[in-house]
Amino acid sequence: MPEINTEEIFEKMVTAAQSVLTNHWEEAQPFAENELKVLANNIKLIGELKLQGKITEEQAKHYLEIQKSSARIVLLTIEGLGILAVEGAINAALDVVKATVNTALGWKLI
Amino acid sequence: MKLSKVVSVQGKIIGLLLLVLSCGYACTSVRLISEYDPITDEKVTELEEKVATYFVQLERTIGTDEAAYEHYQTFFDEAKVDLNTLSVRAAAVDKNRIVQEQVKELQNMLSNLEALHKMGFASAEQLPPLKSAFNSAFTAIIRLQMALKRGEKYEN
Repeated sequence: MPEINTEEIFEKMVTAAQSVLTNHWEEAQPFAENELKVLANNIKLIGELKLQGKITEEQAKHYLEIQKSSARIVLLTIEGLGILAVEGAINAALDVVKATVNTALGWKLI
Repeated sequence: MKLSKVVSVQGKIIGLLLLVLSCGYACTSVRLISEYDPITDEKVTELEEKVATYFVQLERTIGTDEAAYEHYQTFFDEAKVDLNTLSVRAAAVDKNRIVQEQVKELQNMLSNLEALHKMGFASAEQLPPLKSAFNSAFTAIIRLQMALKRGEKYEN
């Protein structure tokens, strides 16, 4: 049976995370890479436990479900950090025109 | 000024005003994601401590009768109640889809952990992938909460 390639799993997960966070990857990268590396290592460990007969196939499925949920939670955080970055950019843009718009209107709109 | 240019400038001004008005009358910022919720943050941190305690106790007792599921039923009951509280809380907060989905995934994780514990853990080697998956999940959820907290500056 071929051995699980941690590096390959890790690269695929990083690519998936990057596609979620295209424009804000640089900010999220350290956190994302660290957590996804942990998950890739765990998947390898589960494979080894199964191969060594230390867990059954049914147990392995539960182990994998836990890893999948954990990975989804990490990806959801990455998505949230991206939304926050966009939100910050919009609010910064509004801040820049705040004085001009409020002065032009004669009352506080922004 | 040419008529087409005047129309173009007016269009840009109207567009900007519509953007501003779309965030509500006299609002100070645009919100695309939920605001920081201290109760969610606190509950998640409490649950993280309970899960950490569970793994510490399990590591100490594994291989003995004390590690049996029956001795950990209270933990699972309490964790389910905590997650239900978190789920209700997350649903009540506006623009909170991400946290709602995170809580749902945590519920899945706990349910799978309970299934595994019912089957029984034979050795300490079985615990590290579980422990670190929960650590990653809690780190991610708390990290998002911390980022939402910093985002509050746009409200001022």
